[in-house]
Amino acid sequence: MWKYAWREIIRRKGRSIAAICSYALAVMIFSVLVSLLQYSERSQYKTLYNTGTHFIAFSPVCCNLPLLKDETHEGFWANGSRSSIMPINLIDTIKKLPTVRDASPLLMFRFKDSTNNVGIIAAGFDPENTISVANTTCASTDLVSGRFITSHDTNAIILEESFALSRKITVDKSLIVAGTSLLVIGIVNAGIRPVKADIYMSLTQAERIMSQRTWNPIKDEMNIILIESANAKAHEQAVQDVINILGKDKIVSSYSCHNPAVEAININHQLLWLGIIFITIFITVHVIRNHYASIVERKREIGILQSIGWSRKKIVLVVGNELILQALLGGILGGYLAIVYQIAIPKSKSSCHILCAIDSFGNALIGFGIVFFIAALSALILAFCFVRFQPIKNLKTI
Amino acid sequence: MNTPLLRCQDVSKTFRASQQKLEVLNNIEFHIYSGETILLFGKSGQGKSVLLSMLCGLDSPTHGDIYFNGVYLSSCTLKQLETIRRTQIGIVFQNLNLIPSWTAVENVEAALEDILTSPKTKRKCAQALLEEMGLADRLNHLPNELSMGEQQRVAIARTLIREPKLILADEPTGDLDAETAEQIVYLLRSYMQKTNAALFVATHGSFPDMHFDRTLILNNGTLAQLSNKLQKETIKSTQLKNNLSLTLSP
Repeated sequence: MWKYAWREIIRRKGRSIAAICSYALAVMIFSVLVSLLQYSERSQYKTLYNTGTHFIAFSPVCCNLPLLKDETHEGFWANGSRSSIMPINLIDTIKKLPTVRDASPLLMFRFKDSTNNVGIIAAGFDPENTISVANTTCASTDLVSGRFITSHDTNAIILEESFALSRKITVDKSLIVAGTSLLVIGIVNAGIRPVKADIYMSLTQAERIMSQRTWNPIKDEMNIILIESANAKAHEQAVQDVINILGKDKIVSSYSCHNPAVEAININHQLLWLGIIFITIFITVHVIRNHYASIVERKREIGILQSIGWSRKKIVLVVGNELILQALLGGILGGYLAIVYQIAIPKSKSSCHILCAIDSFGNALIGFGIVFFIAALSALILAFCFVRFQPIKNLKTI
Repeated sequence: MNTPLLRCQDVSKTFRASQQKLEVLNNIEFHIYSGETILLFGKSGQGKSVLLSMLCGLDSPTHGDIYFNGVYLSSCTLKQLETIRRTQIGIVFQNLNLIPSWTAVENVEAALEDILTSPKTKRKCAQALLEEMGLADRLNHLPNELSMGEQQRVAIARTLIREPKLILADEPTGDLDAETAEQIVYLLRSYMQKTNAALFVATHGSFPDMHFDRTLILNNGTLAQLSNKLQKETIKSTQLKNNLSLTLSP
């Protein structure tokens, strides 16, 4: 049956080329839309990742803790107020939550500063953690000068840039904290993060220094939990799950821009879906119209084949195969053009951000698959409808 | 007496157009036997083509019965009708109805689609028949590259290649010159002699000198049969169309 289809395509070149080009265009449009959707998904994740997939949890206290040596001027600090310490094994419990991707302990302490009355806020974290720590406190990418701290560093700290500038401290200088001289190995500008301190150090270093200001040594304890949600959509549930574990008296702090960001991105996402639905309907109507015109043009031929005794099934296959073959050729051409287009345009150009999103053979395949499915289905249905007519209706007049 | 190959019993056909009933055929009754030749005369618009299309099952009568080989056509399924058209009844259309994008040989071999399976055999048979019909050098020409007579021969070849028991020909020589028309008649006659098939020819006027067993006249939707004497006279006259009203008057 394919030989008849191929014969029609070869002999009616004009009509075939027009049909093939229209399919190619449809596949290209679909491929671009699928790429846009993927691009939107990635952007959504990226945006929400930066605006709110991480949060901190701590326990505020109203009065000074008895373990402190200087209850008046010093204390464990979180979000601008005093906080209590929690056992570090809570981290393991939180990490097991399906809505949580990562959790890490942090010790934050406000030391009395002998040079002025402002005090120094120091934070100790796990420098090897690149997920929850990097998103909530600071990361090596925030370095302005020097190097980032490692877990092997002793008596070494990094400073927040504003603190360093106000104290006129540079890298390789020392700073005395709680009677200990600490070497400044780097300066960071952490930007806006849930946990901000003047100086940062490793957790073990923090335990050592903070223990000098408490009656009992600090070991396997923390006062802030740094948490990264499993993904942007699970964020709200992750917050709720952590509250359930820690209890209602604990505070969970996240970015306030998370919810508006979710709303705005959802609107964009829904618009894109709407666009895809609209384009799908448009392409479906276009394909059916194209097929209908093609079959009407061949109505008489269907009648002729009926009059010489061809079976309905055979006629459906001949007519349907021709249209399917056109869709196949057009689809392959469209997919090929979509891939060529992606290769031809360098991704580094910001102006082609959206169109450059055609980044995979898979997208072209999805576009091809959808258009081909619509084309094949409508071709067979329409061919079957026409074959059901009495032959005389197809021939019109004998 | 032999069983008729085709029996047309009280057949009527009515069309509805613009809320008007148009009765094209009214109580048509006749039969065709194997090997018989029948000429159907009728002016244009009298319903000859409609009758032919019903005889081969392309259309169905509004009223009445058509039996082919004892099979009641109206009760046949579409598949049965397809089989009858493919193997037993062949029709040569007035406007030939060749597929324009297919060559002469492709048009002819298409008629063998469900009869022979091997594409090579189909092509061989089609070529042989067209060569027999004097179209050896026109095998790969498209219909619009052929003369009217050549197209007519291709259409006849497409019908004859299936070796039908009944050939229905609608104005087979209508637009042809006398010489070409004679060729067409010769082709049909030779086929009939070989196969004992029945031939039913519809024409609106002139037809080359050929002996027909019976002549039917279709006028105002009704059918009349000419007597043998009148038939001979009528056939001698190729201007029957002009005399038709006189012939039928009481």
